[in-house]
Amino acid sequence: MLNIGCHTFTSLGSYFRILLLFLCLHPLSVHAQVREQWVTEFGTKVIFIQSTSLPMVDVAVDFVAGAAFDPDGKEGLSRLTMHLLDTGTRQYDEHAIAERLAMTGSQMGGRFDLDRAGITLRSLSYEEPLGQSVDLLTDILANPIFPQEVLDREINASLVSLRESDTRPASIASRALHQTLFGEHPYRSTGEGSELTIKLLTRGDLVGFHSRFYRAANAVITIVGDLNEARAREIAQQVSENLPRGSIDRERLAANPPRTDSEELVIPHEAAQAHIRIGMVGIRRGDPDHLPLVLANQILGGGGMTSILHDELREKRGMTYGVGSYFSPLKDPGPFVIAFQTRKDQAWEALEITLTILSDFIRNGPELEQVERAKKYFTGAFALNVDSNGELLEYYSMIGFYDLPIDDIDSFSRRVEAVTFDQVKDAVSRRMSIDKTVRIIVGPDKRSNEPNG
Amino acid sequence: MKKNRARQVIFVILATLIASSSVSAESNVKPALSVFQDTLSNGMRVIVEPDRRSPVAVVMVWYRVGSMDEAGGRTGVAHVLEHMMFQGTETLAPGEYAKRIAATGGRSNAFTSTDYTGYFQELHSSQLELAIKLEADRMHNLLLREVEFNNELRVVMEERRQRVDDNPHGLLWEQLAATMYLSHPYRTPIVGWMNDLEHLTLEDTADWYLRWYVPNNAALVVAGDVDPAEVVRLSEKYFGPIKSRLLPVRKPQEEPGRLGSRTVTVRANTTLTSQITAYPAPQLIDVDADWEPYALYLLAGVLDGHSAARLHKRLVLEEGIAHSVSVSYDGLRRGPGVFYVAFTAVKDRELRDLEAAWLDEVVKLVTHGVSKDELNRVKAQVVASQVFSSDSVLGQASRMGQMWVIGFAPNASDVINEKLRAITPDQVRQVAEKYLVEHQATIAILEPKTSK
Repeated sequence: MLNIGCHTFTSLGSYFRILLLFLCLHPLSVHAQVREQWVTEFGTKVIFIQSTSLPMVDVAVDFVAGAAFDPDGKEGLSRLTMHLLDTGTRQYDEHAIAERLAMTGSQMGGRFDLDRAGITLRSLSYEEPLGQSVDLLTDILANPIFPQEVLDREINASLVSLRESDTRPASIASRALHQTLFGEHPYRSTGEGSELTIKLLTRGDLVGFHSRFYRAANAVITIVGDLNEARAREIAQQVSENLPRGSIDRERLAANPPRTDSEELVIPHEAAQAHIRIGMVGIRRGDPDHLPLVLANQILGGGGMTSILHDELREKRGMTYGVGSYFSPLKDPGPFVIAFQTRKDQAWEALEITLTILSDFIRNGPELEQVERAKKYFTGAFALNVDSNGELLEYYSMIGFYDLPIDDIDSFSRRVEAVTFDQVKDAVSRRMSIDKTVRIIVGPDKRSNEPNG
Repeated sequence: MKKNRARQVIFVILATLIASSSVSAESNVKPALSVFQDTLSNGMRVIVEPDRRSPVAVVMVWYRVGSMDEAGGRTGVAHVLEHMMFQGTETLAPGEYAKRIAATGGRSNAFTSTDYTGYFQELHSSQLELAIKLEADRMHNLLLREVEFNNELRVVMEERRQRVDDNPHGLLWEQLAATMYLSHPYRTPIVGWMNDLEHLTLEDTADWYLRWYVPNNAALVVAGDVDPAEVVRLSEKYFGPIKSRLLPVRKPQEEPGRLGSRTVTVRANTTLTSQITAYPAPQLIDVDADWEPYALYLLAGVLDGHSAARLHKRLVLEEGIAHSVSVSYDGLRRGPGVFYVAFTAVKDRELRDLEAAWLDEVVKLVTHGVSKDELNRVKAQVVASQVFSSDSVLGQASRMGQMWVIGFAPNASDVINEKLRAITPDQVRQVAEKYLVEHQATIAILEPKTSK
């Protein structure tokens, strides 16, 4: 099965001081040598980045087929469809696919979010492993048969995972946040589905979802690595021409009116730490306020262990191991989230502190000096965020998927420099509001106004 | 597809060179990246690997000290000191360190393991001097103050709650180690026991710093767009004046012989039952002469190195009795090695069934060995991942640091790769027979708490 991250066993080998979470911006190509984009005759958009320093090639094929495209009552379908692509084609069964892939040494994986479902392939650039693994990639994208016995097994496995995640406060908090924040908008689901909906999924549902969404015209291919443009065109052509044809209907996302009220949800849990999420509806990809708001977020809760939230909750009060905030820009406005964990008996105190910081920040805006520092951070981090083929693939597949200009990256520093203090302040006051926040508190039994601990 | 993730315990491989192999990648040899090394007069090692793809430098300082060097009652001190290294020096206010790095757009962080403590900056290569200067500063000018110490202790306790106390698998691994070792310090958790943290003092932390944070117990590892001569010049300028000191004696604390298998059960907030079986195994000591560690690594790959590997195929795909399977061998470390087999049962299936299937697989391995094709599939992963892993500059620097910690040459992973490819199917069979021995195993079982 295409695994989508998340494994059960993790060793306690190494203790990172704080998670490198909350990165939300990927500027700049540095070592790319050739950059081209084109559309195949079957309507697939392709971006190619040549990078010859290592003998390897990365390919991503992304479809507009993420969790938001689950039909009502069939939540979990899009994820399962992607997950089962490599479990059998007209030519090979799942063991044959796995063995053939293993012989090449290549790595294939799935990725999945609210908007996107995609497959990534990493192969050595030599013709034999590359050719063989691209053949496999083409086959599983174009000809999956979704065998009934595999579907039964994987529905069962999904139910097991779902029940387990229902015991984890972090999963409970994330799901509750999406549901509460997005109401009737498709982003209300995080794609796992529920026991009720997953049980009812049929092979016909998967076959139907695949033929409707995994079409050439609904795909974006990104290729990065040690190959020339002619070879990249061959690969893109091969993948594209084998995909189902036909026009596509992407209209699923409706404008979701931003919340006009706030809501607080308290979910008791036995864990030692409370999990707290504060969310509001944020921005879409390509939003004119994107840069000012990303700068504002850097000041409030961004990375680098220098944010206001980090300073107040961790450095001054020792209340948490890590606190951060991020905007997650999507096709439609995605969430803005502040997240942290803290000992249960100080959860309300920490929540109050955070809300006070947030509302002060929205009311007064950042200081000039903070904005200047955030700008320096982003222009300085410019090279770091795309210094590997893996990061180039991430960045350009996002650009391709969201129809953003391919040369966006070239002017990144200039555009960051050009953002003014007033623009940041103005964007914060227009786009963020304490009265439209959703707060999820998983842990304590009920609201307490008496901070203790 | 299962198992293409970074393995939990990677047999680190310095990806620099692809030679021809029977399984993949004919000819097309790319030149190896050169590794430079030097030793300062105070004993500090300097290791540099230029990689000019991007104007980025990774600067790391590794100290050969981790939780395995701690004494009873002071577990977690290595990790607490790591936190305190960001809390100010004679010239920098608390938190100033991170601010200086962030002001350049750089990232800084640190990690503590059983075997080592490491610090890193990832930043624009024009900021090389800043990173080296700040690392040298906190090697000898750290100010340990009560207010910051008490605050960081609270942070570390939150970290422990997050990683271990509220994480069923965190608890399981912690209890496994505590059961597996009677005398070796691998038995204690890196983050420390909560009660030890509650009683840890500023003096304990200061004592740790004074004993272990000396140039003769450290290596500066730099990778990226840098000139080795410049790195050496800067390290002489900033680290050079720091005096070496005699290091404390390290006792071997070897495990007494195991008299039989041991089992521990953890009941926690989970819906699934899981089991980890840990077999004592050798660690790699002589990169050229040893072969068993290489065979053990490939054995883990045969069982669980890719989607078509034996255990995953049988337990997850064919019989459907396991929700997940994970096999790994940890033999690249200062202390004794371990071979882990871990699985989670699907609902309504007993661990017994999984255990029986696993023992059956061991018999098959020992009796029939592995086929050449099967081994070649694992070697194909080794060859390819050698290249893939050089995509990350931080990853390259980390591998060299780990090699130094164990006492190997920084490019030992090249040799390790060659050696891995030379292992035969029968050698894999031999290590299975020798080390997958039931009465030597430690078993840790995770089961749901029946009542909430």
